Amino acid sequence: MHRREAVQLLGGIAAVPFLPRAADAAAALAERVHRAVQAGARFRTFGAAHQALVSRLADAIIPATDTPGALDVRVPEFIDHVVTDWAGASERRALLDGLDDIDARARQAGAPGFVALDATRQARLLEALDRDRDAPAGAGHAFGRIKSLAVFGYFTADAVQRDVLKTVMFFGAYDPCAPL
Amino acid sequence: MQSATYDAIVVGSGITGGWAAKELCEKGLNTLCLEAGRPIDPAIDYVEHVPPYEMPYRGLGDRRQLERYQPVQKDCYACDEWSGKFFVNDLDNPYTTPDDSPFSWIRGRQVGGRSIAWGRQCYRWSDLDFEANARDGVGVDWPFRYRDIATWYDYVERFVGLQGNPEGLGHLPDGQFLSPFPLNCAEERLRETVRQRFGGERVVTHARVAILSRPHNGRQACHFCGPCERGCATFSYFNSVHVTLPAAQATGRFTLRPFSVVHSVIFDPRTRRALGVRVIDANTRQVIEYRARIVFLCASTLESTRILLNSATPEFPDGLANSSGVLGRYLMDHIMGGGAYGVVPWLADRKTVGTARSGFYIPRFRNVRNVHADFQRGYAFQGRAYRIGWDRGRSGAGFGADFKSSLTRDLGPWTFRIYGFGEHLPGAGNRVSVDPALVDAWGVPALRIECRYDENARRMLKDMVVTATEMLEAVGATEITPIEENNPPGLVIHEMGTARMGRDPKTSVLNGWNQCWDVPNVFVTDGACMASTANQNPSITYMALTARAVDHAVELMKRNEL
Repeated sequence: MHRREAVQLLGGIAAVPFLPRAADAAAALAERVHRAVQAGARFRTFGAAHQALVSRLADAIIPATDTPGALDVRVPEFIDHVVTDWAGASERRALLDGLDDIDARARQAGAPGFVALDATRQARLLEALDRDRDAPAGAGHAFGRIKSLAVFGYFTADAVQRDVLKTVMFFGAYDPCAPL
Repeated sequence: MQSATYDAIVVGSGITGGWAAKELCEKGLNTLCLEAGRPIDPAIDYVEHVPPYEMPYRGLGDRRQLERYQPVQKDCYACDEWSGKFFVNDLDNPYTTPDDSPFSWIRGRQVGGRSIAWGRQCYRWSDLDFEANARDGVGVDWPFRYRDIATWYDYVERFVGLQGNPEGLGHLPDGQFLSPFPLNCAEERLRETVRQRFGGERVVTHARVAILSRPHNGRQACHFCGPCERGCATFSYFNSVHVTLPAAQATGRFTLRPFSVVHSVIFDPRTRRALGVRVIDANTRQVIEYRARIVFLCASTLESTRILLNSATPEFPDGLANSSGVLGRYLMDHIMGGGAYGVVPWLADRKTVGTARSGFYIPRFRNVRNVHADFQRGYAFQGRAYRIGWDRGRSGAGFGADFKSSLTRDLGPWTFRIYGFGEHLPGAGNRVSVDPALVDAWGVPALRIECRYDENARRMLKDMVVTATEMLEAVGATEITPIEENNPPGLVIHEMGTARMGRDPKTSVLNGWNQCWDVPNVFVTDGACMASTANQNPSITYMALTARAVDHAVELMKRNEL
C-alpha cells in the first residue's frame, strides 16, 4: 500500500460516526489499520487497494467496541485465505469485480475510492450496499460476501470464541430453559 | 495364500458388524472381523472438542479437496472439516448410475464404519410396518412379526443405552429407555400445542437417541458438547468402536483385521456351503483367504450385496445365493426433505445451556387410523427448536457496533425446523448390479446403482410440507418457510434391500433368520436384508436382527446343523 492511500484510509476511518470518537480510540484504530496494512505479506489474492478496502469494510461491519473488532482478530487475512484457497474461480472473480464496483461507486461520488470517502458518504454507501447484499454480482454482492465472511471469521476466531462468546465444550448438565 | 481358520467371520465392523462380533464372541466362537478401512484410535481420531479456530477453514471444509476426492460424500451434512475423514475417498470407491438418476452412496470405511458419524436415532418398528407388504400386496411379506423380535429390541436397547419417553403408541412401540433429555421450552410448547390441537392423532415426543442421559455399562453420560459425529471422548453415544467391539475384544476370542477388503465369499460346490472369504489386503494388494464355519456379511447394504454379486460361481452365475434372481433388486431409501421452518416471537428471554443432540420426533400419523387419499404408508418428522446465534449475521441486515452487539448478546428468535422422513416402497427396477467395466482401487468390480423415488414417495413429500406448516401455524410461528428438497436417493443413508428376507426361497435371498436360503452358513444382517423401509430410522432394527441371527446360527451349530 502506498503511503498516500494509507493516509486516506485512516482519514476515512477516523471520522466515521459509528466508530469511537475519542482520540485514544482513534489512535488505537489507526494502530490496528497499520497492523492490517503491515500484514500485507500474508495476503495472497488481495492487492494493496483491495486489502485497504476489505479491511475498511470488515472494520465497519464489526468495529472494535468494548470487545475486539474484526481487525483485531485478523478477519481481512482470513477472508483473503478463504478467497484464495476455498472460493472457486468464478466466485473469486465476482468478489474482486464487486470490490472494484464499490470503489467505482465511490468515484462517482468524487473520491479516488471507497476508503477515501468522507465518513458521511461512506456510511450512506454502506447502507446502500447492505440493502443490496443478496445481489448475484456487483458492489452489493461483494459487500454481502465480505460481510458473511467477516461475521464468520470474527466469531470463529480464537480470541472471540474464548473471551467474547466464552464457548464451552463440556457441560455438567443440560439446561433446556435457562434465562438468557 | 491361505491363512488361519476361525469359527466365524464377520465382514464389516460398523453397527451390525460390531454386534455380530460381540454376540459371536460372547457365545464362545473364535471370530475374525474383517474391516476394509483403517483402524480408529479414539484418543487420536475423535475431534469433537477441536474448536473451529484450530481448523484451517474454521469448519467451512477444504472445499477443493472435498470436490476433488469426496464429490459424493460431501453432500452428507456430517462430512465436514472435522468428520470428513470418516467418509470414503470417492475416487478410490467408484460406482456408476444412469445419467438421469443419481444415487448418493455415503460410506465410511474404517473400524466402526458409519457408526462413528451415524444419526443415533432409534425407533422400533411395529406390525403396522411388518404387515404392510402383505396387506398392500407390495414386495414380499416379512417372514416374522413384531412379537418375534420384540425381545431382541429389548436386548440390544439395554446394551446400547437408548433414551426416550414412553408414549404407549401401538405403531411406535416403547423400548428399554433411559430417561430422555428434556425438550427445551420452545419444543415443550410445540408438544403441548400439538396435543391440544390435533386431538392426539399427532404426538410430539422426545427423539429416541442412542446417547446416554446417565452413566451406563461403564460409559459416561453425555456432556452436551454437540457434534457427536466427530467422536465422543466420554463414549456417551453408541458406536461400535467404543461399545460393541471392546465387548467382543473382552472375550479373548476376537480378532480384528483392518485394511482387509473382502472381495468375495468362497463357495464349496460339494457341500454347498461357504468355506470362508477372499480378502485383498488394502496395503499390499495380497490376496488372502480366511476360512470359517459361518460367515456374517455386515458390510453395509450395498457392500454386502456387492460381495455376493462378486462371488458368482458356476452354480450361482448371477451372484452367490441368488437362485431367486432377486439379489440386487428392491433397493430402497427413505425419502427425506419435506417440512418447514418457522420462527416464534415468544420465549426470547430463554436459551439452552449445552447442546442436546436429541430434539423432538413426531411419529407417523398418516395411514395409521385413517386412509390417506394421495399415498400409501407414511412418514415421521424429526425436528428441533433452536436459537441461531451469531450465524444469523452472515446473511441478515446491518453492520456496525449495534449489529455486532446484537450478534454477540442476542441469540435471535427461536426457530423451528420440522423435517420429514418417509417410506419408499420396494420396486424391482431399483437395483444394483456389477458394472462390467469398472473396478475400485483394489480391483474389486464396482456397482452400478439404479434407484428412483416413486410417485408415492413424492406425494408424501408434498404432504410433509402441508402438515409441518399446519403445526407451525398452530404454535404461532411466522416466517414459515416450506422445505421441499429434491434429494437423490441414498443421501438419507438409510439404503435398504437388495438381499431381502422373505418366506419363499423363490422370491427372497434370506429366510426369516437372515440366513441365505441357498448357502445356509452365510448370514446377511445389515440393511440388505430389509423387505420394506417403514419410515423409522433402521439401525436399531438391524442391531436386533443381528443379535437374533447370531443366536439362531449358534443354536444351529450346537445342533450340528451348520
